[in-house]
Amino acid sequence: MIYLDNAATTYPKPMMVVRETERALLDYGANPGRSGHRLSALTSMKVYETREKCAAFFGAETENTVFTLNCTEALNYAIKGVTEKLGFCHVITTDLEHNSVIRPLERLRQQRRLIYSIARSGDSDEALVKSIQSLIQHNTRLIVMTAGCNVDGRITPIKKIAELTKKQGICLIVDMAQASGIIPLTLKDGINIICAPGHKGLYGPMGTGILCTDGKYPLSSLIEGGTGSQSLDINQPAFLPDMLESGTINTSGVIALSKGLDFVKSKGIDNIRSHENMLCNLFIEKISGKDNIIIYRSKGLSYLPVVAFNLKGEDSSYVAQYLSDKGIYLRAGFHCNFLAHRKLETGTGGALRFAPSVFNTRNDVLKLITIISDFEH
Amino acid sequence: MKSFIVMKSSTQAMKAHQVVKGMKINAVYVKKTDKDGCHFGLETDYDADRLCRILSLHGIECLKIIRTGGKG
Repeated sequence: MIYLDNAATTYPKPMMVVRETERALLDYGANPGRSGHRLSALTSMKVYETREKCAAFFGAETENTVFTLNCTEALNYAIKGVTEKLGFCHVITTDLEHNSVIRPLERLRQQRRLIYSIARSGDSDEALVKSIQSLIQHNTRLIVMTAGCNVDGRITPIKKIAELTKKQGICLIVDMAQASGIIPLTLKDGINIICAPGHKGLYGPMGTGILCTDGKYPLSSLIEGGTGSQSLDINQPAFLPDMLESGTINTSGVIALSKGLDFVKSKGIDNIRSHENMLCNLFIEKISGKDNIIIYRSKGLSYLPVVAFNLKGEDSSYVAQYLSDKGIYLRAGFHCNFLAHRKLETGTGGALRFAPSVFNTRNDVLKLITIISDFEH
Repeated sequence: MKSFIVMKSSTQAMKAHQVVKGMKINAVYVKKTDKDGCHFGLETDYDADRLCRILSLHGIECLKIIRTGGKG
């Protein structure tokens, strides 16, 4: 089996993550931040350790680091929370966004709580920055965008956008679903809120996500309930992380995420990116020679280690099924991102996505190339 | 004299615990309940007022100090 669907979730997980999940279930089984007994305190401490590591990783204060179920939930908290506090306003996003950005925005637009514009990413970083600049209005209060597109891996110029938002007093929310563990962006780069999954580039278990805020833009809760704090107050706590952590968190997942972060730090983000880029370049080099291949990349742009491609005239799902039957797992279709697919003009069948992790090898790529070469409709 | 220093959340109490651990001050993370509800904080035999001043330098707010008596 060769797994190349790591943009959806990394697999396998490092053994230290697997072992820590087991250890968490065996040894840290109490509810954190609820009871006063020793086991609850011990579990709280393990959760706090992960919170500290995530905070350091993204340049946030520990208490401004919130655990969510996934990046989508973090983005919903960020987008809906910030816009509720800001009041009716204009928001800018881009044509590279996942549905976890565009759907919350559209929902809020339908509820007449905001209006939004979609910046065109064009074929260069300058084009994207210019497009965003041209869309800024007197009532633009928020820009929410990805650090790297989940379909073709295109990296966006977040630091340049952050300079712009800082100057204009606009909140910047960044979706780091694909970029975390690959690009070392932090709040110190001028981002106000970072949303990230724990289960992709940070190699944690599924069911873990992170929201980090610099605290400049207040948030509000989407769901209310037990937080272990201010129990006699009918109102949801107004402080983080409690405000956004109603109910029991994925305790074993969060504790094991700590080991995912250790793994990424020990490998080094630069080394991980370099290894995965090497595999992408090998894939592109080997497959480009074939005349029936479309690769969705442009010269002059930077990409995350993800390659979107198609076999001319073939439905991507059909090819993915063929590869699956041969033991190679890639994701086909639209990757929950109709905006990027529309921009890339992938057509009615979407595309295939080659997404390696640090565990993939050159041999995995060469085997994939051989099997694709043997493909016959 | 033992004191219970109340923080606004479990996370703040954990953060405070990490700070005092680094300074080798004897304090334990505890939860207590009274008529105002449930509280997370630190129980310590160290000078509580002084400790709160130290914690405020780390951005940690002490909501109140409850003197619990007894020997440290």
